[in-house]
Amino acid sequence: MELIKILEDITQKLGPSGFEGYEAADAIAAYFKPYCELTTDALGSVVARMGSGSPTILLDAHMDEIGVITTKVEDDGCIRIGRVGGLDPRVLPGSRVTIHAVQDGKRHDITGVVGALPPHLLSAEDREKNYKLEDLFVDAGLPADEVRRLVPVGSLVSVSGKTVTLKGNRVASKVLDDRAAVAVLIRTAEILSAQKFNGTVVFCAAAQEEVGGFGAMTAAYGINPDWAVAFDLSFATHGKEAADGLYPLDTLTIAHGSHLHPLLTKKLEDAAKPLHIKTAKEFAADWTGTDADDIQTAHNGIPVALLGVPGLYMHTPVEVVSLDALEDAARLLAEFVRVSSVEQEGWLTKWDD
Amino acid sequence: MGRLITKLISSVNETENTELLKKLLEARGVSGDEGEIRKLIREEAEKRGAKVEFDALGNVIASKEKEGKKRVLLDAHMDEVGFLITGATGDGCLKYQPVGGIDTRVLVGRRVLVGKEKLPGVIGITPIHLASESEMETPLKHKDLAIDIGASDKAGAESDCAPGSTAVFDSPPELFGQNMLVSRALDDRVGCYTLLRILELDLPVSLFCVFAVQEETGLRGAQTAAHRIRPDIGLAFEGTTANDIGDVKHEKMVCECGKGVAISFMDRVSISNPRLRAALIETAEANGIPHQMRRGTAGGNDAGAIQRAASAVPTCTLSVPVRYIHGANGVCCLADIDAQAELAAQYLMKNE
Repeated sequence: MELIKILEDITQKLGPSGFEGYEAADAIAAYFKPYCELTTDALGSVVARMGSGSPTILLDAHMDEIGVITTKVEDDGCIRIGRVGGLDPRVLPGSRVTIHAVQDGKRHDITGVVGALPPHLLSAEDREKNYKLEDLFVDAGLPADEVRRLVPVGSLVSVSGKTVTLKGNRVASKVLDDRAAVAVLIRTAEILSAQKFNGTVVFCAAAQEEVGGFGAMTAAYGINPDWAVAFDLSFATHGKEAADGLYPLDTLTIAHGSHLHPLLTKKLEDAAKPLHIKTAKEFAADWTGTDADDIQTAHNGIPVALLGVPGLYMHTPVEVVSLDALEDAARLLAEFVRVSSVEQEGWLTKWDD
Repeated sequence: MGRLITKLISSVNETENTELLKKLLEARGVSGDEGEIRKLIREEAEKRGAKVEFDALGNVIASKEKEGKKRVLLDAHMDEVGFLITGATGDGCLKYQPVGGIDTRVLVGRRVLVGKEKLPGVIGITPIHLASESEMETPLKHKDLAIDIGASDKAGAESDCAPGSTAVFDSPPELFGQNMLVSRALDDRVGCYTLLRILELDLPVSLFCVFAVQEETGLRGAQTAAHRIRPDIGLAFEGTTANDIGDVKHEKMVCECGKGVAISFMDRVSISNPRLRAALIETAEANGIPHQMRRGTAGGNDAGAIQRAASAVPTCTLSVPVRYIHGANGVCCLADIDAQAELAAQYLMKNE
């Protein structure tokens, strides 16, 4: 299935950290279903298995998204908001949103707009400052009593950010972090379903990455893989050369650093070569800020590598990635599974350096 | 806040009207590049039996003249705020100048449509993970922002989107809440909509509806159109700022959504003619038309240009209150649009 079709669908399915089950988890599971055996763990991570026996290889991407949640309704009907994960309040003023209210098990999707005091009502000093989250509110176009009736405090709010295709086979959308990677895992499952490999591949669409990697931590424990690749967005530049931790959109990044297993990392880099896929080295001396940190220390320790696809404007409703890079990532992961699955037992614990 | 029971305006088919308002809100028309909205308004005005002319600036003048009757100029501007593309950076991002007053704080993370082809583009920023403290705290300047259409170099970007073309917010109209509407360009397509509804009526005046260009860049169109028409009375139909939500003190609200058409006594560029204003208030009261005073003196609109055309014209402004004006997502109440049209219709009906 075309990646863009998967993206257009799963980026629009709501699933902030801790609320992945609202829409995202089921939508994602449905795409894995033709190829995999599915389970869901207690934190809500979707685990999709293909094949049987040893080795067990985990491919992980997180499915949760940053989000907005209602905290209070003022007497004029404006709704105060809080954040789930590393939401950037700079993207909110003037945006169109959907309030996802649930009452007695029934869902109401209510359109709203994020408002703030207009510039001419701000002091000269405040006019030179960005709005903070506490300055903002959602306007549902309803009087306070109606808002209080329809929207319980704690309702999720999503910012509108439909998927659009830009020039150069790039795509702009909300929640490409990390649904773009989830879409790649789905595509990888499709490729692997028609290829031979040893053992078991487990695809994990992990919960709660944006609040601390908790989904990957518990999923990795449950799966107990022999090795794993975490896959998340890295930071992109518009330029054609990597610089200062930013990478061109059409390159894949493979991270090097203390938490990442050197032999496994090399295996991933080597797998790219025969496919003529461009990769660049990313560096993370300690914390990678991804699921890799949490997978590494599950059980007795799990060798983990970190693959990235560069994205622009992360944590905005207009994140941008290259569809070519995503397709490359799927081909790379499938090849990596094929070549690493035939390695002899113990290949990652030799430490003969 | 139910739908206004209109006397004159209710004669018009409601579904058709909502469709017309939607079409008006979807058409592009950044100041100086009003082609698409001009074409639509010309067709709609002709359908309503008006004589339609264009002038040298690009104004649409739709008239129903009646010999010996009072010459009344109704003005709504068809231009909207947006972006003038000035070129591309080396890595293919489009640079722009804002057309009209746009606060950069409402631009981050928005989608836009560039040029006549409506090429999709986005306005991004340095991610929160990498942004410095000052980037998080201080609003960016327009010169620091850019529109990304996915081009990878300057030549590619400029061949897809020639410098000099314009961009609008990608933010289509949607009904929501209690009788509310969210869209880009409510300022001033609501006024254009009102003028087209007025053109459906047979009024005892010599009527000149001006769909003006370039209000947002200095009230240019209305100035020359008023000079050409030399009316006896001028009324501007606007969308104006409503600050009525978000824990705002009543005296700072200017006007409120759902409380009716806002009648101006003055703004930064003109003082309404007191007798005309009084007659409008009297008409509203006599006909039970929801109305409020526009309780602010900031801002300015075409009434200022019309008032000082030729040897002066009595003017007043009737506005629909719009929240979050000049951003991607303005919000107004449908009943206020009806009240704007109804007040104009009732006033003109008895104004022989």
